[in-house]
Amino acid sequence: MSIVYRVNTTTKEITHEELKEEYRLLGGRSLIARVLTDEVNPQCDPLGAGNKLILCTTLLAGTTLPMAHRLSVGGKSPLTGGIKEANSGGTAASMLARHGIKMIILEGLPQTNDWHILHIQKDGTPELMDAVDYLGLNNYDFAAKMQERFGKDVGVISIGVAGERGYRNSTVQLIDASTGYPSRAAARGGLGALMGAKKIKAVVIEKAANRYNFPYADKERYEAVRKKYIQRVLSSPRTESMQKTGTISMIDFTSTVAALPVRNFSGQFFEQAEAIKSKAFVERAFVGGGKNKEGCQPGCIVRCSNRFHTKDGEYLTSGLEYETVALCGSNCGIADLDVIARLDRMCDDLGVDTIETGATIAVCMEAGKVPFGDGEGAIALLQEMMDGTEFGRLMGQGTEAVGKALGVKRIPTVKGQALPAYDPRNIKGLGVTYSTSAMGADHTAGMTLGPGIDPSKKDFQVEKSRQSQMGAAVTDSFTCSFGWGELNNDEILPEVMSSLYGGEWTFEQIMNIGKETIKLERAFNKAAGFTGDDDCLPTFFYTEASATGTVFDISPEEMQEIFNY
Amino acid sequence: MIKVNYHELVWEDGKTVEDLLQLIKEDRQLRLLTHDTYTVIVNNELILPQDYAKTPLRTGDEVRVYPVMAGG
Repeated sequence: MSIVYRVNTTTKEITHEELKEEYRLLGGRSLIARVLTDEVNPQCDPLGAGNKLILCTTLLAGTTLPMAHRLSVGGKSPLTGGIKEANSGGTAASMLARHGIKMIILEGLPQTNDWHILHIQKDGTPELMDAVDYLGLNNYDFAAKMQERFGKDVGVISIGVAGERGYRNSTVQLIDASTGYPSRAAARGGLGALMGAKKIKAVVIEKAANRYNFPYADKERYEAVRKKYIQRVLSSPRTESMQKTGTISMIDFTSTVAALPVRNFSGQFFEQAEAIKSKAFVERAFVGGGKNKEGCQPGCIVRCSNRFHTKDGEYLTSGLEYETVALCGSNCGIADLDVIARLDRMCDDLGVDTIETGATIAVCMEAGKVPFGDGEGAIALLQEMMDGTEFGRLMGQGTEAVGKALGVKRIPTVKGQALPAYDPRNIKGLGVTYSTSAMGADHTAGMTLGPGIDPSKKDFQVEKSRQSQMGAAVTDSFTCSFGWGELNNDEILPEVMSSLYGGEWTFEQIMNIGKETIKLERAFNKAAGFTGDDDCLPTFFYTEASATGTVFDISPEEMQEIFNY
Repeated sequence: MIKVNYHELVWEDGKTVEDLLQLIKEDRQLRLLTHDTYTVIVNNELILPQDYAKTPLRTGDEVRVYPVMAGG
């Protein structure tokens, strides 16, 4: 995995480089942190010529390890103004790996209004294709056109109209391996707008004529540890439950402890929670031909995804996830899975983040634009984003911009990015992660639910978040987080690395990749102008008690301790 | 009656934390959790896994049960 393509969008020149030796043992998030540090001025305009969009595969991509193929997308975030890495499953990372491509860097800024598609041909040669015929298409229509033109097995990384218009909540969408639809998203931080600024509508990857062979340091040793890993994943109770309900089962828990966001993070219990819990989801999901146990990337054995059909039997969306159901559902007072699934489809099609969009709609509801619980009202607001009305374009600038414009006092954002679906008053470690991560509010930056700590108390949460953030930076560099539980131990992971890359790896050595990544990311943000004052939750989480009587009570000063390592 | 994650549950005094976790696993209405790695808090005290079978629950006890998992 050593091929790097660099696309100068000013001159339209594409250069082929070999991956630098110092980048060889990096992938995904860790590689993005390093390249941005080396090549991008942190003070640049996120939508200007100085910023770069990086697409790269994880460190284990190209191997036969299940769940190894995630695509990381990175750059200076148009939404937060800080460093950003967002990753996704789908087919693209696997398609790139089959060509031996580790990374694509889009740089410069076009001087004309010509849009292009970066086309990776069967022999691996890249070319820029004119995209004029495809402008104005959203992701579903665009992906269908590419499949029509290049065949069903083409890999597509695209932006919808949201990215073309520069919406700061826009995503980069990928084709899902099971459904063939562009329903997987590198969602957070508005990286679709960065791709749009480069006037690259998509990266389209044809199936490699000659498959790249990973240079295993010790194939026999690798096969032994691979077998052990697969056995652990398949025998894990977590895998069984993920196959049944995917991530949505988290609602069964968060709704009971007032950690599920309800009506713009009011902190209340959701009185209609039964209608969106896993039992209701499973009952609804199979109506009309929907399915569970779907894998979003080729070769996945966890298969936690699903496809959701209309009651009339038409495909509607896939990969309906916990965060989407919570932010577009309970956080808007909506308890109708059909409405939530329609919102999810619209978000994927337009190419906007379901977390940011759900939070934005809830802020609109708080301002009285439409009432909480009004599903059709929520759809109408999202339609405004699709239509590009004046208010829809404002919504495209994200939750904070909308909240400020409407005079809303309770705006649930950190560093300009909306909070995901865990209320920090009842899972306090996540409040620390939201506050201190260089990514802005992001649950994947460091989940803190774990044995031995009371999540409703402040004790040990800073230490737990520090440890989890370092672990998450490793996960995002290696593989999918839903197979990580069985990989992340000193029996399997060092053995995998030793057999792939040679030498005798230790667990500590691997965790150090996470530590170094977080240091680089924080340094980037500091140089971009962020200070400790930005590492803080909105005031209302400190002052408004949740239904369980808790407030967030870890002070900004206490949270700064997280950086003492 | 005990409270589990702030919600009332009819309970037979003397049954243990382990009995509760088993019930949660088997009862779809109660199923808070997606797999069996828990943090259990009883009356604001953390209960260690080795003590689940030795910790009886009585009327009025307030129990909180947390899984380990991340949403996507």
